[in-house]
Amino acid sequence: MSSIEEVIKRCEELAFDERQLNEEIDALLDYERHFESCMQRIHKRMPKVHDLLSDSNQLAERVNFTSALSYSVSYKVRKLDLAKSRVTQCLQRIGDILDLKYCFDGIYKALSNEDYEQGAAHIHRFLSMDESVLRKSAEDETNNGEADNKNEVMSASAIDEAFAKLHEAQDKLQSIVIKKFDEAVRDDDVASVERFFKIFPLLNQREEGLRKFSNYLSAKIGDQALMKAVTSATQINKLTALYESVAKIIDIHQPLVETYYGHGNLIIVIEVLQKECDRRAKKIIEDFKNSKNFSQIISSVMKSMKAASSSSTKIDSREIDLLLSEVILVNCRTEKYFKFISQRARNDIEIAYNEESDQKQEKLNRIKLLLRNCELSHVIQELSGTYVLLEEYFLKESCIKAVELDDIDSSGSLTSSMLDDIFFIANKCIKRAISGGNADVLCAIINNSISIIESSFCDTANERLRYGYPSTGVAALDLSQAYNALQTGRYLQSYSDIEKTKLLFLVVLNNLDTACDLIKSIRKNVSEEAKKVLDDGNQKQQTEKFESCISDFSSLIYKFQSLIASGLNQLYSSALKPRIKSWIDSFLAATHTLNEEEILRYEVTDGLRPFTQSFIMNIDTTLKSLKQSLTSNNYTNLVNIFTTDLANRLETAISKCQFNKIGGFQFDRELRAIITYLTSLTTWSVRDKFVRLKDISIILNLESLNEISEYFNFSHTFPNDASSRLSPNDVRQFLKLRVEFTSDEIRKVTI
Amino acid sequence: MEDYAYLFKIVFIGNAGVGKTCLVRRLTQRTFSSGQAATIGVDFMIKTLFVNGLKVKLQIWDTAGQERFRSITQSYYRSAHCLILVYDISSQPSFDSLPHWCRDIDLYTGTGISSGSNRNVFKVLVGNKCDKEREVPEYIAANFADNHNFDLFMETSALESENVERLFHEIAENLVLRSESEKSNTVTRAQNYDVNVKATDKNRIIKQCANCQSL
Repeated sequence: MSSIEEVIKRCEELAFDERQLNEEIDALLDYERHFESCMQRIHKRMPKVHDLLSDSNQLAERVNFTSALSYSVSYKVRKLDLAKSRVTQCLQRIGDILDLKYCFDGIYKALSNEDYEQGAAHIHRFLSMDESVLRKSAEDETNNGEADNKNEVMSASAIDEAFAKLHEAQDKLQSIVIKKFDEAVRDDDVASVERFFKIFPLLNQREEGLRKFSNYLSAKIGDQALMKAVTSATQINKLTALYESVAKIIDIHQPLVETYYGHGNLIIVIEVLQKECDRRAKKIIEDFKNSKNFSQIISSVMKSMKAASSSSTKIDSREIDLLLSEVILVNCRTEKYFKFISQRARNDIEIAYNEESDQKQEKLNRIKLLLRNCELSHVIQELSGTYVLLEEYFLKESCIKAVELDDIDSSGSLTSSMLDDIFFIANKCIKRAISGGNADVLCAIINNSISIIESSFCDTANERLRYGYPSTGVAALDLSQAYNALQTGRYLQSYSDIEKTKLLFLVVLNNLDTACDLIKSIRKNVSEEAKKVLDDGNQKQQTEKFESCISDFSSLIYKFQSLIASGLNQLYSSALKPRIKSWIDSFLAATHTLNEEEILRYEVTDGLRPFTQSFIMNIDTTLKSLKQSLTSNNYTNLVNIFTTDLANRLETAISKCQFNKIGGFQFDRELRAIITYLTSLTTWSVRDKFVRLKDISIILNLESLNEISEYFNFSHTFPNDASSRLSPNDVRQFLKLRVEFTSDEIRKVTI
Repeated sequence: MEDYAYLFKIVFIGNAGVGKTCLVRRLTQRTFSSGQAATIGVDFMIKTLFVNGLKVKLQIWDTAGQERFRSITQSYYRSAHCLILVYDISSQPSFDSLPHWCRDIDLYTGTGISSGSNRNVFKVLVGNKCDKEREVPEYIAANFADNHNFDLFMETSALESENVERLFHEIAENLVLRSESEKSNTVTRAQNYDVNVKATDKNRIIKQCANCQSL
């Protein structure tokens, strides 16, 4: 306490502490009041707490007691339940024993009365009993009370006896049924066969019954097919009769099998029947092959296919045509038969198993495998293979013949006979393949047709296009062409030969163009017809395959079009290009600085200079004759090539000339005449090819440089047609061609 | 929709039971089943993959090896871009019949039927089942492939999925390379191709976005 400040500070601290303590005391005092009221309440309730304790003790006792009681009750109930179930079991067993006794009594009566259905019903009842349990309970009974024996329904020994007898009866009945069934089969007694067939499932002999019945049915196939075979001469009819009889047998007996054996068993019958069908069908098809000399035909076809041209002993394609139709008929019938079998078996399984299960999948696979691996399908696959081979040969031979016999109709047809012939053959083959109903075969035929159409047309086209389109005079034949022609012995000597070559050239182009249309229509027709045949669910992959094969037709069209394009270019180069060239030469040689007098002179010739007039006339004759002998597509494309080239060359020529106003006017007149002429040639507009030239003619025709802004306003030009219009630079270049305008003036012009 | 840059047809050929179908299954479904039933006629499957960011669709034709289907399967040779000849490295006989197959290839793809089909088919030799005990040494097969102008030789195992993806990738890459050089070489065809290429180029960006979404 050294200084007064410290003293004061200490005093303040103490005062503060004091205040705090006071507050705390106040709080505590407040709390005491609350505490007191709590205490009072507790005191009030204290007596009740004592009651609560005794009450809860009482309750616990009650609960214990009740639980013990309920436990004992439930125990009794459980016991009762057990007893009840025992009683039911007992009742059932008594029932069984009664039935057993009944069966035991009835079976021999039924057997002696030959009432096999009744007997089988007894056996069925007996087989549904639990034999070991019955025996056991009988034993227990014997051990427990020998005294009460009198009241028993059957004694243990009696039960044993009954079982023994019933087993014996079962064996007996079984052997009788089998015997009777066999007898009935032997006697061909349909009613008895069906009667005993129905008994097998009652004796737990499903497999046996189905097997025996199927064997009986497959024997029947023979009878039916044999009966029909007498009336039908050809193997195809025999085969059809066979398929029909199998299908009929399945159709008739399916309800019987389903009713007495349940769904899902048809496949067993089908498997047995198929074996018989395989055997017979194989024989018929062998006969068919033998009667048609099949193996011989195939070996010679193979030989001639491999050794490309050496035609030793070629088989007449008409003969093959007939054979093919028969083969495809065999395929078609078989395909239909398989479809029927697979559908029946599938439906049967679908009904048997509602939801997807392994068992169902296994059965479905069994059908698939049956149809895939049965001998008949192997035989048919082999036959399909040879069909494809023979069809290919037929197609190839017929097309080669069509090309050899190719002739141009004199009645003004634009195409030659091979076009129609080849497409007729291809159509025929594809249609035949469609009728077979097998996607793989159809796809193979489509593939082959495409490759044969391609080679037939491309080979002839390539050959004829190689020599080019001859120009008018023999002299114009260029040296290398002449050399080629000489080498191949085709030197063209007379005028008519040239005309003929020309015609052939044009016909090739027309053939290709028309072929494109025909291919499109074949594609459309084939896909429509094939869809009808191939489209039946489950065959998504097959249709995809087909679509992919058929899309190759499009690449064929593309190939043809590129051939046409190169042909048309050749045609243009030799028939039209020289005329453009000579006109351009005259145009370059002519003066384009003209005076009024000269212009007036041209009025006589429709305002055209003589060389232009003769150019239009010459072009007109050439194009007119070409128009007559070209398809409209080809003609249009040719004119297109012509116009494009003309416009380009003319523009180049102009830039090498000098014009005055009147010269420009004359050029404008001539350009208009040419455009009008070309527009008259085709239905579509050729004007867009001449947009630049028209602009140029405006420049060459200008009165003064000031006019330029009236015609060319580049700020408004759309960027996308810039290529077909003149650029400002172009305009200056063309202005320079005018003798009236000095380069200084041109430079000053604002464009 | 035609949403791919290239479409190639690939045809599998070879003796029965050398594992053609298993190779195709391994590629397209990533599965292997040992009890594969014999193929009937021709099976058809699609596999799309990407080569340098281009979507390439492979149309795979899986043919039956058995003799009786030969005339059907041969009709596919001509339009194929690639022929894959398969043998079984654990079976000498399957290797021994390769020359026969090569003759067929020459006959049906080359000048045999049509001089119009000038396109060279991409030939691949594949020795399958290399998980099994070997009967055909690799160098002998490689020699064979060289001598018979095969463009590619590879040994694979459909069971262990060895080299299967690689095989198809190399084929796709080669085919793309080939058709791109073809495009630049052939002047006369350039115009026609051009249209196609431009169209595909334009669509390419969109296509790829669409693919991402679908992936």
